[in-house]
Amino acid sequence: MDQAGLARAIDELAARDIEAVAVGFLHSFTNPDHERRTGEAIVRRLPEMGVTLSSDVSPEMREYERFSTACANAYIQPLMGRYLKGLERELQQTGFVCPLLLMTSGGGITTVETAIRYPVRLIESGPAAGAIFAGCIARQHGLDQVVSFDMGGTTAKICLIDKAQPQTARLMEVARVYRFLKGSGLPLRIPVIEMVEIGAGGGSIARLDALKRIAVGPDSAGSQPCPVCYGQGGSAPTVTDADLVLGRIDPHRFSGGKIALDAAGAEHAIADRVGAPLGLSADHAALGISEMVDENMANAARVHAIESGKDARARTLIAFGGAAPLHAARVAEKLGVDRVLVPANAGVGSAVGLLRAPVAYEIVRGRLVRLSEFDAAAVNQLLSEMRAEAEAVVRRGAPTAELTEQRSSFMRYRGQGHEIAVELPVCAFTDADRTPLVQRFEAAYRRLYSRSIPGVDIEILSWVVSLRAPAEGRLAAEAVERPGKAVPLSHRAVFDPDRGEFVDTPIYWRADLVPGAQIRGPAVIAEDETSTVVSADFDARIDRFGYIELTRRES
Amino acid sequence: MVARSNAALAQIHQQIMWSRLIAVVEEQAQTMIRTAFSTSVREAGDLSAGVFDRHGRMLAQAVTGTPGHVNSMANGVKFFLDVFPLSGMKPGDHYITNDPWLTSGHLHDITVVTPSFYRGQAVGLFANTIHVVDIGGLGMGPDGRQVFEEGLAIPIMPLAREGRMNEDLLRIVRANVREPLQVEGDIYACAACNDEGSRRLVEMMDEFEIANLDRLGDQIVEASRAATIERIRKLPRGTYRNSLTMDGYDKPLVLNAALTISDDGIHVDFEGTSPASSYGINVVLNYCLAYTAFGVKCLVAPDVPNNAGSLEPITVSAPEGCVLNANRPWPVAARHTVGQMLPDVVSGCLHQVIAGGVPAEGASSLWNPQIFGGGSLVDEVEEGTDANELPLFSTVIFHCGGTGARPGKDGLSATSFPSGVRTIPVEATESIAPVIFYRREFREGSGGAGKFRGGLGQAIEIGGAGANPIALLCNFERVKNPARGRDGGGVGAAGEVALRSGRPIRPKGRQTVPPRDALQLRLPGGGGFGDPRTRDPEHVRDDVLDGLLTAEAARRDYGVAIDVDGQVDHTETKRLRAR
Repeated sequence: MDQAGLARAIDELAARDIEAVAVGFLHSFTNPDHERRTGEAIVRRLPEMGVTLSSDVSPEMREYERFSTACANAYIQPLMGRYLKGLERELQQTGFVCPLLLMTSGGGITTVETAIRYPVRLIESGPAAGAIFAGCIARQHGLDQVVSFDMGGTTAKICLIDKAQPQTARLMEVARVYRFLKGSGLPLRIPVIEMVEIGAGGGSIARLDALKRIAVGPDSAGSQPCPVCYGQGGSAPTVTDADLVLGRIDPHRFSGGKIALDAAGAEHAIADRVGAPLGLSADHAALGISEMVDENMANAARVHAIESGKDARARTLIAFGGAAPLHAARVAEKLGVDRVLVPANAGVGSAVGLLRAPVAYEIVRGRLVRLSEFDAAAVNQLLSEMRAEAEAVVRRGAPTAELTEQRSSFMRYRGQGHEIAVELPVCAFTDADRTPLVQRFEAAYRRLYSRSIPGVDIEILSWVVSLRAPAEGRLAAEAVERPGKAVPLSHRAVFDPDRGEFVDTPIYWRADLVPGAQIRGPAVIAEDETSTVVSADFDARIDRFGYIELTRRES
Repeated sequence: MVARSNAALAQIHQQIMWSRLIAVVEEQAQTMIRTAFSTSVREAGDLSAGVFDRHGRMLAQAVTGTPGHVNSMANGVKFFLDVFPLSGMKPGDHYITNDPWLTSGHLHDITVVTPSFYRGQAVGLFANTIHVVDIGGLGMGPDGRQVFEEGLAIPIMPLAREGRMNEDLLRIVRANVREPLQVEGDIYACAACNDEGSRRLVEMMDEFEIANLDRLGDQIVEASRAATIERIRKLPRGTYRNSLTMDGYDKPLVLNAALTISDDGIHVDFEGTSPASSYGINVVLNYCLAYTAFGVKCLVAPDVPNNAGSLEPITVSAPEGCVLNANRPWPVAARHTVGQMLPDVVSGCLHQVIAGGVPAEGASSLWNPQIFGGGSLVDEVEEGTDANELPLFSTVIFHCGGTGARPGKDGLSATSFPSGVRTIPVEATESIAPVIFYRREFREGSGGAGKFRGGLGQAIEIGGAGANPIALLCNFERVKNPARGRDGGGVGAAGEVALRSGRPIRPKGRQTVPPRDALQLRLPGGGGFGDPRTRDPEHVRDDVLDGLLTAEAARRDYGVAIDVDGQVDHTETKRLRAR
């Protein structure tokens, strides 16, 4: 190591009043020694300095992603450190004695100390909580294949959930220059719940593009200006305005009747900006807006599934977030999904997910191991070190719970550029485990690509150990279902997309419906925060958890 | 089910189906990326995918992909239909070629076309083009003197008939390429992704109850053509000329363009362009059209979807036998070297008519040496080394210089435009090949000066690990002809190629880096835009503090003085700029 060069660099850090620094050396995921010695030298001279080592925060191959992750961590560390320490202190002063835990991007809960050390692991943890919420519902309902659909005011987030586990990845992108354009942001290589996010929400603005095609989003009306129908000065028509014009939202009972919606204003804006240039009435233009946003969401879900080597069909769609129940049935039709669940508390799913997430931590380490030279003792040592590191984190939040460990690895044929995830057994390996490891990899490879390649060596690039305490509590009390036809509260004209006209449609009040209640579509089930549209192809039933279950009728 | 109850609904459905087609081809492309074997497809995204109507008109194209592929494919499908008319195609058929003159300009690109059937009728076609890692021959360098030296040629022929793969063809392919598993795997992936596209198309036709794509196709093509022409008509009619000189292989090449804006479109004539090169950097007309049309579309109608309608108003002509319209059997393997300059040529014409101007010239041509070693491949070894013992390897590294400054924004540093491919991490390359990168950093001062600064190139130093010599297929442009600035902006730095030892090395052709030596590449920067003396002094200061520019260059090129505390010395700056 060039000690003199290092000393000069530290002089410069001192001279420039720098608060936090990231250290990144090539190949440090294999040998972190130089990064560690550099970090120690910095702290010796500048004890107040926040130091992030790339080999600590993201010990995996590919320098750009690793260094970018280290820089992001260093960048937010001073601010997050001050904030979290202050929050913890004030909570204690106010009399809270319980530990303060934080949600991570990977969907687990962690302690304040870990969050201060690796603040980058908290990024996008709100949406992750939504996926955890849907995962809990999947477990509770025994659903193996789920797609969660979280549509709020500005974006829609879609996550695939298999066997109650939201799909995870090790790479995400933040600070995109073009908000929804992949590749325009900075990569972070950390464990994350993988979801696709598109600019489609209740506040997404509709307009005509250069070719007079209806375009919705990705820009949205926030709280100011807002959808035209809120009467707060918004003038650009939004998805919520379209939903109102189509009769799906009751203008008088919106938000529990606290906000009277301006249906005429919404209609005028839609007719003006979208309808007139196309020669369409306001109703048809509103339908065009609604269809386009639904199409965008369904397309995003399909492409996301393909990217993950999965299929969006044959899944149950779990819909939450303020706007999702209005659009879930139509999105399901477009995806070829036959079953939709709209849980109670659909408007605040992410918040519920935060309360249900397990105390958990995931450690990823890059360590190249060729199966032809598999050394069981070295691998066992690596994995038990990782387990100890994860346990130290989890124990702070769950001192006594029984912990579940999962192991996996990222493997590829030697010479390939991409790895695939392969689950590993939690046990001590012996040298005889080489063959079963080959078989595990080949089985996983065939699942994705329908073929394996004989005679090529296989290598493991990185190793993952995830440790979790059990999630606590149930989502909702179970009740007994009493099957029977529900009684509508009223009837209202709601636009039927198939017939292209308004149809007198029964409106139900969700709070009045008891488990077992049955409703034949088309119908609308209204509640304070949102409304669930039951399209003509679906029937609805209230299940024993109080959730609305939509089932597609056999045609 | 969707009933078609009235004209309003039908209009809405047409719009939704157009969006759906774009999603279908994106799924087609993602299926390709998921199932492909070679890194060029999976890592760098060197592919294209699209859906075509019965007449071979491209209706939609996946956003993923390079312009050289997409637009060549758009034009290439009709050549398949000339040889195999749609009426004779059957479900389960796939057709293939890598003919440079009919598709995307070199043998490394394989195009597969697949008919789609709905209720027994052929309703359209799916096509995709991919860059395979090897096609035999000399490799992807410019040293071949005829296309025959550049690898295996596959004329348009069936890849599969009614679901049965053409096993004879696959055996020939396997026997001719260095990476048979990867190449065969990629060919299978081509067929698989077209099948996925067809399945999704059939679902769409079921959902919207349409029997064919004729009406939808006409609407897409018409609307896109009309929108493109509307944009073109906003520009002043006339003929605008530009000329760009590039290094070439052994002698400079002049690319001469006369761009004519008329009421019905834009035509670019390359009369006066240099004759074809004796080395493999020649461009076929189809590929010339692809990159020319991309350059025009980026500036004139960037938001109009790319399809047959939006491409139709943009046409090219080039004298037969020139470097942009090479005849068979002239060599073409490294045709991107010249082709990627075409957007710069077009920009120079359009700068004369587009309000506010267009980006300055950039590095444009990728610097992507093929690096290999071992056995018979290297020219010299260290004394006492047995060449048989050297590790055998072959890899490509993609690297790029800076893009031109934009009107209102700086250029992008070390970013590929127009090709759009990604670079490969140092750690990834070093883990598969016995090479060491000694340096890879922004090249200080390489961005052309301007009110908006050109993007920076990068400095790379790479050699064989230990005493390994490495062989290279070099193909480095803009060493003698740097990227030019616009409206008073300065030139970007010219590229430089050297060996650490000081021994001479040429920027083009096959050579060896001797044992314990290293190749030093200094990639070109982009040109600047506008007078550098009008650049915000604070931005100049930021560049100095970020190490992108020296304080001396700030003073000399920008007239900005930076004091010892790293602040702008406004008095001195005013004095400098007043001169």
